[in-house]
Amino acid sequence: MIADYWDQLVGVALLGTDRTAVPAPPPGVLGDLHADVPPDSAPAALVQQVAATVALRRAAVLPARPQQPIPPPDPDLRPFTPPAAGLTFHAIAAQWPVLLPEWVGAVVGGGWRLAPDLVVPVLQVVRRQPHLAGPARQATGPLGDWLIEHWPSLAVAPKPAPDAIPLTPEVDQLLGAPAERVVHVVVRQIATMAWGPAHRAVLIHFVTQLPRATLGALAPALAGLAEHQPGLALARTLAELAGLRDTALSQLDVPSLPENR
Amino acid sequence: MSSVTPGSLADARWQVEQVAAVAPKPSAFSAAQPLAVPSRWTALGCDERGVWGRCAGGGAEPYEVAADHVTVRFQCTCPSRQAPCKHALALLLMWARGVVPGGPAPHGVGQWIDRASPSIAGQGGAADHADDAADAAGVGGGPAGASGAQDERTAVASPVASPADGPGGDLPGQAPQPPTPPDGGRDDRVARMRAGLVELRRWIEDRLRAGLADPGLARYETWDRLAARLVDAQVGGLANRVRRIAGLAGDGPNWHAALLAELGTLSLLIEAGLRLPTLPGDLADSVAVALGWQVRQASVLAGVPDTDRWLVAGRSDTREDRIEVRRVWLRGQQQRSWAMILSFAAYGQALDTSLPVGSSFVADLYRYPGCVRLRALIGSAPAELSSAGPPHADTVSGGLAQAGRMIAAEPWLDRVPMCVTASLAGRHGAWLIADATGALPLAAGEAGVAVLGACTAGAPAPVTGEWTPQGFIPLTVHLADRTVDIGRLADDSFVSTR
Repeated sequence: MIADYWDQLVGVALLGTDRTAVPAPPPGVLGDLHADVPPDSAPAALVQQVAATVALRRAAVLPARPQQPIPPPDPDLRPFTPPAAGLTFHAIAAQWPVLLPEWVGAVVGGGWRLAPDLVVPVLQVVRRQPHLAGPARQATGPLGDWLIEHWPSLAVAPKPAPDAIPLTPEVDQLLGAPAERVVHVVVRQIATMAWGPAHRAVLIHFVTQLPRATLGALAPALAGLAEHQPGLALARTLAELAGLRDTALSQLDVPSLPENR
Repeated sequence: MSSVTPGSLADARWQVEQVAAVAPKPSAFSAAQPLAVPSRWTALGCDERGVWGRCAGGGAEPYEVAADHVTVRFQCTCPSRQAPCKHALALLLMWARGVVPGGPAPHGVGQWIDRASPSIAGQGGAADHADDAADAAGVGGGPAGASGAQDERTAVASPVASPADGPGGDLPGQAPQPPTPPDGGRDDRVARMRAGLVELRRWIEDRLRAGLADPGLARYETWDRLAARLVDAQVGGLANRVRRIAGLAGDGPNWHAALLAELGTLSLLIEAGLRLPTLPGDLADSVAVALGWQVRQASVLAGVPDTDRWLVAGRSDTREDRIEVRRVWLRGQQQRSWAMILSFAAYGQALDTSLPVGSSFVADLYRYPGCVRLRALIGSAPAELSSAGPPHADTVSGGLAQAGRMIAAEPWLDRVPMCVTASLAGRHGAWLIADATGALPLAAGEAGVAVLGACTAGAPAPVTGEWTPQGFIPLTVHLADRTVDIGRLADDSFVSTR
């Protein structure tokens, strides 16, 4: 009854009291209010009834009929990724998306499943990178399929994979070199400006392909470049990337808490 | 965090959002930011009445700047005709950040302050408590000139809305209010408030006479002009509500109903405000705060503390005009009562991150006056934060009944905390959170509901959220082995949030 009365009040308010009459309040508290405090004009009567009805509807609101919950997804017995990996994911997604394929691969390879709060953000990121759809679905497991079933907007949008940036021969041959030589060459070339901002994209892809063992040595060496040396900005960028990649991989090495599900 | 440092100077110190609130326009506040560094200033000082300093400007001589933070007046020797100018705002910003040293006022500044209102020194900290407001409203009060003196280089700022004392969300948009003027000023304020309420009532009746289909209602300036008049009438809480109503116009197919409901709530506050002297004490407090009257932190901290182990149950960030507002919802482990800690950040500042969701701590909470008394201050910083299990969770119908009691006590509450154990359900394309006792509509947007779905995976789980007129906004999912904060996070490009 109150709901019907509210609809009538909205209709009158839409047209205006100059064009239509304010309905009589239903018996009960609304009717009593109207009788006890008679308004002196039609707009005042409408305001009074609207105010009282809003308060009544909000304070005395009842829940809707119970509903069956949506059926749960199939079980997934893999352990959740550790909380630190979630922070790393957000850093990668925001600053170094070039690391995303490797991060998702490490999740799958390490036998993890994504923590529940990461599933939607990962699906949202991957949605724009269809080449990651397969590994991402493995990482999200049955929960990801279940979410996409209920929220189809999380499904991958068709879009071609970006072209990979080819490494120059000079950089490419370093990939197989020992860590000490990689560190020595990279730091020297950047410090002498032989490699500068024009090489940035190539060097970023180079760092994303380096063996894990090299990252731990390269990051501090680049970060330690003296303040006055040229190439400092590029060195710090690559140091940050190498450090983040090293951290991301170490966090996902092996599930350390198999009971954490 | 709203904990207060002892000491009269610290008590008197404004918060940054108060400074933002007295800025004549957003650009003035932005222009003040780069000047608010001590290296640009000499002869800085402050006491319990004023703050002063010399700012190096474009001319040969530095500008002499002073602000009376009690009667809210400013002076500066710069050529700007804005009051307060960017130099005065920068000075207040530094003072708010605690980088202005205390000390005796220079002779000129002292004289300028003394000229304003010799009686104010004896005012103490009580200021504009709602009871005072009620008393003053009963007297009626004509204009009083205690704070009114202005000249070309000096101005009195109109206090604006207080920081939403209720969880009503209304307030936060408003920055905390500068201290109230002395008694004469208060009478003047009450008179202005009553005039503003009467004008707003007439405005609403005119709109309803003509009908909400009037295309003028879809224009922001219609509401902005009304809000500006309400600020002039010193009912900033209502001004803030009016600006929010502006966002409803044209938003969705049922915007007329939503707008009408907001006008109804405004009308309740108008009638309550005009009857302030006759209302019971707690209700008068609630109404006064919702209108925009301020309660000083010192008064709150003088109350009886509420001691418990408090679980940080949820967090929500909302953008209110130029201020980002963070609400942290606490739930007492023993008494199961709710409390809310508000914090604010303007552009470039950091929101309070000292209370991570899922942690718990033992502390004395001091509650603001009112009927529901959700807003609180923490007496002293928690000694130790520890992780905690899920809070006590209600059924859907039980949680809604509790929320209904709060709304019955303060019908203008926009956000009411609730923790229910429930599952995600769908009906007719709408998402609900449901248990055997009933279901609530979700008001979280598609991505927000998907995150809730991912965290609960179709199983019942304790969920803390805010009950609003639009539905239930989930903030936290309390799982057996982790607590997941899913509340809206402020935009990182506006304020620092982590």
